[in-house]
Amino acid sequence: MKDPSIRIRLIGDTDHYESGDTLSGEFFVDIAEPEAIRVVEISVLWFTEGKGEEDLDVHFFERIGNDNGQFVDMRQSQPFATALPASPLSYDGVLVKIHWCVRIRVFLSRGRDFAAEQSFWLGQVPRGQVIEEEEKPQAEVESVANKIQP
Amino acid sequence: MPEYLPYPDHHRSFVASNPFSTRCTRPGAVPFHFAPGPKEKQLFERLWDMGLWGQIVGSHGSGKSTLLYLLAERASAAGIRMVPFDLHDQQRTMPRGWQRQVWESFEVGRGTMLVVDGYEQLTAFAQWRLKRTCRHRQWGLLVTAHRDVGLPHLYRTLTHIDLAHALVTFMLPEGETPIRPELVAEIFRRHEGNLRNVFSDLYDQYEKLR
Repeated sequence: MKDPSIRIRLIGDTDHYESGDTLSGEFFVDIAEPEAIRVVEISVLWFTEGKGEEDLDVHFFERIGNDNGQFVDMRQSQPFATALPASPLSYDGVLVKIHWCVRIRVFLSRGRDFAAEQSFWLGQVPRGQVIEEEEKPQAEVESVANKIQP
Repeated sequence: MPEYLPYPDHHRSFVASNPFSTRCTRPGAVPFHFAPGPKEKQLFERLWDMGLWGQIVGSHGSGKSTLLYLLAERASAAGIRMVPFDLHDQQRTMPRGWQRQVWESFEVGRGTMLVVDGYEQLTAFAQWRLKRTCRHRQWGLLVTAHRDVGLPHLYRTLTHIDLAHALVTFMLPEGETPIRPELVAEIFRRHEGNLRNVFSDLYDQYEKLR
């Protein structure tokens, strides 16, 4: 069977949102056997990116189960919506970045799972910049060194 | 309006904007490149033959945890219950309540294997106690260490400059080449083959070039 693919679309004129805005969208799963889908999880979450430990928090979560006797055809558009919180705002820094995204995770009855993400921006925090340390002239360095260690 | 976006890879998130960030370089996100010789399947068979006891030995940043993750996934798929322990910061003993943790995830009919990353940090006594408990309970024990720790040898991880180039090429988004091969080679030499440090350095370089 061909691997399923997940399509996500955010509704609106932009992928930039402000705190308190409603994020709404839809998704569908391109799959040959829709009965093979056991559960779909919809999450709206933020996570950090950088060189160190990562942080993550889920703001919105919804589970659509095909395991409770009701069959939902995920090939059809499935809507989702949530009001966005005041923080944390998206940030493209050098040491750390904060990303927001919608993540759809599909669990198949055979134990496999697939996921898709659609990123968006919350707020308008300016991008962080790398600040290059200015190299001091050797004479100045020596002068400072002499003052410290006469 | 954003377009529909397919998800390119099960393990890699395309949201990340620096390809050398932790989420892109952690075990499981980066493929393990085997040296000539046994590959994943053969290694797992060897581990099985050794009663799920084994050690992966290698220096810092040589891919031990990546290989461990790969074998753990395969063992899990084979029905073995994995209980991972990640030791760091000179952790001299197993975490408090580790045996209870293993017991709590017990399932009838499934084998159990402890996976200890950074095993050599344990004191000799802690290693002896852990091995004795695993032997007594008939639990498997797969560990990573920087040197031989007296468990059946499974694999020795090594890095080389071609591996560094291959991984950097894999990690960079398609069509993007801001990192010159000479820079990768220079950073690789500076960090004496420690790929974890190489990626950390490349994270900074990538930020400067963005």
